[in-house]
Parts: sequence; structure tokens; C-alpha cells
Amino acid sequence: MREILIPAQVVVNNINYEIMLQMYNDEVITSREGSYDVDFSERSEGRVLIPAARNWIKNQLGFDPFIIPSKNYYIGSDTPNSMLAKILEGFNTEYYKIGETGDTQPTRMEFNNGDNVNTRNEQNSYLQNNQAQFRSYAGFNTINASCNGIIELTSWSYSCDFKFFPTNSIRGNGIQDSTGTFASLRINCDGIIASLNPYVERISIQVLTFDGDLWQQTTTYGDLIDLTYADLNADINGFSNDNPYEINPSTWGGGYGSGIINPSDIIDDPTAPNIDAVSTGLLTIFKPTLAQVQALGDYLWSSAFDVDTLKKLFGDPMEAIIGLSIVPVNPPGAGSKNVKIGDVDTGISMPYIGRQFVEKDLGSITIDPYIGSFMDYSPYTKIQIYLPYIGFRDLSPEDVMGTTLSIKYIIDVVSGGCNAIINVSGKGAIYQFNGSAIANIPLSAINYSGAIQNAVSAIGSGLTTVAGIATGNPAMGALGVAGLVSNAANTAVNSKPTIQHSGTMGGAAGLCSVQYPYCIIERPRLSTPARYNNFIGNTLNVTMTLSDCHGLTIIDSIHLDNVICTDKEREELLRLLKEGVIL
Amino acid sequence: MILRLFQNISDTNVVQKDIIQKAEISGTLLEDCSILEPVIATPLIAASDLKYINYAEIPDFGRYYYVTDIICRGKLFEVHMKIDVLNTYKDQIKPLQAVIARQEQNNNVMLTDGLLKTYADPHIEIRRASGGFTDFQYIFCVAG
Repeated sequence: MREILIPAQVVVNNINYEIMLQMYNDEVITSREGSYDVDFSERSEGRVLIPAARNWIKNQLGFDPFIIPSKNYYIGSDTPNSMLAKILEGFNTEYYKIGETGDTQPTRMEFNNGDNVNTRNEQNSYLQNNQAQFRSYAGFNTINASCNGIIELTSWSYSCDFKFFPTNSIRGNGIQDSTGTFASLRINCDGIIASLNPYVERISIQVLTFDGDLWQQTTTYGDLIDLTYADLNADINGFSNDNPYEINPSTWGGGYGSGIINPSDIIDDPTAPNIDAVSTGLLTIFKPTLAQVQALGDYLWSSAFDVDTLKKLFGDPMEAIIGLSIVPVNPPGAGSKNVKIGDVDTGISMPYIGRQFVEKDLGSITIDPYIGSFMDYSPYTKIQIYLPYIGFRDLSPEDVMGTTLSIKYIIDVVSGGCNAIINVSGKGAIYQFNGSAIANIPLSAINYSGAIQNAVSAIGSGLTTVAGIATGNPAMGALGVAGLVSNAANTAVNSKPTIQHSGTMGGAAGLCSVQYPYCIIERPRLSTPARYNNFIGNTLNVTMTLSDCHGLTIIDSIHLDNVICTDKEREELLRLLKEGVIL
Repeated sequence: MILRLFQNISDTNVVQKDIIQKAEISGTLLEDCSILEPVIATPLIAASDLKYINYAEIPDFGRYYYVTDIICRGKLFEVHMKIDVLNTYKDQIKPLQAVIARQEQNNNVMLTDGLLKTYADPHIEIRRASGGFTDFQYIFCVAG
């Protein structure tokens, strides 16, 4: 699954093109890469109104791309009075205008960055052969709509392209880091005019990914060209090629590197291992109910339990029992069968499980920027995550700010060893922490004193072996248990390590603790005096022409070429400019 | 030598001063003074202008000056001045490019600003995951 990440607000020529605005409060939304098509004309619906079509798109993508309002451009007058206006309105394109009374009817309208287009038409007449095109943000988002007016059963079409960049790739007003693979969305809708309303007949959706480093565009001459970052940021207010800290700086400072940051690879989530102890057949894992556990206890201490038979294999009857515990997941059952202790059939049926490792999705947490500046990162912002059965762990704000953390556990239900995988949107599973998610139940709780030592020893045997594994590599844990059983039955059941109380305490403590992950985010509380920028100024570190600066300006470095003055005056000028002047 | 006298209402770090001309008089440059800190003697300053005059221009020098002092010596006023390099060279420095460290109207929010202050008590935000462990199960494991 590819993630479509939410873009941040972008200002183009001082106009908020909200097509790039935050959606869903900056939450990360996901949608599957692929193509989705529907032809309503071949289905029972025949045709649907635009709101129904939007719902269909939403269901396919998992979000409604048209929730992004497209504002600050318009066609003609304030009142939507054409079919084109209805179509645009249906797709949440706001502030459009169509025509003025007595004006000439347009045939094509095109909007570019910063344009404020008025087109005209004859009000009270039908617009025909209309086209509306909107482009924003260096062509990242385009909307095209065309129709033949309010003419019954004539066709219309609507198409749009969206490019999605994560919030943290946008600095200020421009895309500072488009490194990586990002998502794009192309939607084409065709429909007809019926009963003076636009109906959708067909929808085609393509969810694609594109390389942020090689965003290509077709020129007006039909050539496909690679755009540079400067091109990407063309017309973006405040962007300057002279800024040494913008992407694609003019010089690498003489370093021997290529200057190219390759797109990052997404680290896939690990999945539960296919190899486990259960599949060897030398181990059986039951998931009994409380009543079944009690019945088993009753049986073990009844005269029906044939200890002599068992002793042919085991020195102690309880050595055949590897463990009884509580785990915080309910593994899927593979069937039911009678419990056998050694070779003795207890006659008590319990559901058993077919897999030793179980995956558990613990949901997600979105980490939003608070200030939207360097203050959202360390050392100003600190983030800790609490993971059940593991405890608190530090997360780097640089890794997780503006992302969604998806948390998944893989739990070994035999040993309790668990691995918490934190998938950071746009980066993958870059955090993994392990712990112990098991609470052991000494069979002594049943209060059959004669069996306490053996039972506890048996439990300790199994647990300690895997507890040691749990503290290391989980995959090794799996092999360790498998190996334990695969060597021979007596190898499995004869291991009698000492009970490690600290291990079991850890599991029980986890059971008594909060059972869901949560983040504690320590954010700075700014003390910003009024008119801070006026008295102190904002950090900039950009090369600019002084005539383009207005207000307080503190210069880091300048060459006073062509200033005809005395040496003392030059020194005075330099001093004053570095102390700060008001331009 | 012509001396234009102004009332300046701008701070000293303003490049283009907001000045109102109060008088244009002639005077004599005193000997042994620098063009960066000239002193001109003139009898022609009206007493009513004295309270406003704090800035000057000497067109012959092509420079603007802060009036640092006006000393009355008999019937003459000595106008003591000091060069204002910002206003004098504003037309030459404005076309220049520079690396701007701080600016009032432009900013780069991802650059660390050591001048910003924070309170000792930060905001503590707690965000809970949408899922958790809710289903617990006994596990009974036997050999064989």
C-alpha cells in the first residue's frame, strides 16, 4: 500500500491556493495504488449525480479528494448560472463566476498561478462548448472541465490531477525536499446533462506514485522535460535560487559527493515468521477457557491421571507441561482436540492454535506539527511513546513530525516475546522495540501442593528458554523454540532452567498496565513578544537584493562594490548593515 | 557653502530617512574638520527652527549628516555634524545583494532561531493510539 500524504498550505503569489491546503487536519490518509473504473451506464444505476459519484470515489480511495476546496479563482459573475458552474460546484470548486449580462460568451477559460480571471458570457443564455482549466502550484494540481451547456443529453467531462507531497517536505512557501516517491491521483469523469443537472456515467481513477526528483512535464511543444527544483518552485512566493539552503544549491562547497540524495527506500513491515514450533508437531499450544483450565487441574490431581504411564517418558509428570500463561491476544484457533500429557489422554478437549506467532494491529497516532517551524523538532520538541509490555521509548521528532505512526505487534504466544513495529508514514517500519507480552500462571495457584515444584519447573523451563530468546532477535527466538522441539521430545521437556522471576514479573506488570500505546509530546511554549519580526526580525539566511527587502534587515555578509565612499564610511556601512537597518 | 537643515523623525538605523527641510542657508566650513564630521559656522539659523533641526545635507559633499550639536558663539551658530552613511549611500547599496541573516517580512521558519524564548513549562500533549490490547487468552502449552 502506498500512502498519500497530506500537503501543507502553499501560497502562490500571495494567494492561498487551497487546493494544496491541509486536509483532514493534517492526518495522513492512505489509498491503494492502482486503477479504479466504473461505468454506471452498464450498471443498474445508469447514471448518478455528482455527490453520489464523489461517494463512489471516496469509497475506492478511502478519502474524498474533492474535500480540498479549490478557491480564489472564478469565472465570470458571482452566481453560478451555467452547467459548467454546476459541474465545478459539484466537485467543490468554489468562488467561480460565470458571465455577466450582455457579455460575450467565452469558449475557453484558463487559469494559471496568480491569475485572477474574469470571463464573460451572456447571462440567461446557455454557455456552450465551455472549458475551464485550473492549474496551481507549478502544475501539481490541475482541473479541467468542459461541457456543451445546458442541453439535454449532451456530454460533459471533468478531469483532475493532484500531486501529494508530505507536509514535512514543504518549507515555507516552496517544496524544499521532494526526495522520495510520492503519490499522485488522476480522476476522469464523463457524464451527460439530464433534467438540467450534470450526471456522471463513468469514472476512471488512477492512483500512481511518482519520483519526486524527476517530476516531468510536457512542454507546449510536446517534449517531455525533467523539471528542476527551481522549476518546481517557479512563481512560488519567496523562493529564490540564490538561497544557499534551498534545495539544489548552486554549489556543493567542493565536496566529492554527487550532490544527489537518492530516494529513500520504504522499510516494509515485518510479518509473523512462517516457521515456528507448532508446525514441528512436537509441541501443542492450546487456548483453553477458564473452565477448561480448571477441568484440567481437576484431572491432573485425580486418580484418573495414570502417572506410571507418563513416567516411562518423563521423570516427573509435570515435565510434559511446558507452560500455562495469559497473552494479550486471542490467536485464531485451528480446531479442538483432547489434551495429552505425555502419552496420557486427559479426555479434556481444548481448542488449539496452528501458529506460534500472532500479529496484532494497535492502531495509529498522528503527530502534527504545532508551530510549523524548527521548534517542532529537537531539542525543542520531545516525543516519547508508551508501548504496552515494553514501556516508554524515545522517538526522534525529526523522524515522526508530521507523520502517522502505525503500531503493530508480533507476539510469540509461547514465550511471550513481542516485537512492536512502528511504521512511520512515508518512511516505513523504522522503529522496532521488543518486550515480553506474557503473564505466566504458576500452576501452584490451583493449590495442589504436591505438584507445585514440578509444575513451576515445567513452566520455567519453557519460559526461560524463550525469555532469553525474547530479549534477542525475535527471529532467533522462533528458531530457538523450533530447535528446542525439533531435536527430540526429551530435549524439549528435559530442559529445567531456574524460574526467572524478573521475567515473569515483567509480563505480569505489563498485564496490569495500560493496554494501548500513547505518545507524550512535549512541545515548547513560546514567549513571543508582539511585533517580534519588527524589532528582532525573523531568521532568513537567504541571498536577496536589498531593494527587495522591506523593514528590519540584518545582513550577514555583503560586498560593498561600486559604493564610492571613504574607507571609514565603508567600515561604518558594514557595521550598520550587520547590526541591522530598516529598509 | 550651502547647508540644508532638516528635521529627521527616523531612527538612526533607517536607511532612507524621513526628513522635513527647515532651512537652506550658507555657512563657512571650519578649518581642520573632516568631511565625515564637519562643523559649519553660520549666522543664519532662525531661532524658531533650532528646536527642530537635527539633520543636515551638504550638497557640495554629497552627504547627509546627523546634527550632533549646535553651539552658539556670539552671533554665529556652529553646526556640528556626523556622517549618515545609510542615507548618503542608500541609492548605491540598495541594488546590492547580500546574505540576509534576519528580516522583518521574509523568513525561513526551519532555521533555528536562538533569539526565540520559551517558557519553562512546556505544553504536554498526549495522543492515544486508535487501538490496543483488549482480548486476553489463556495459553496452555504441552510437549507432543
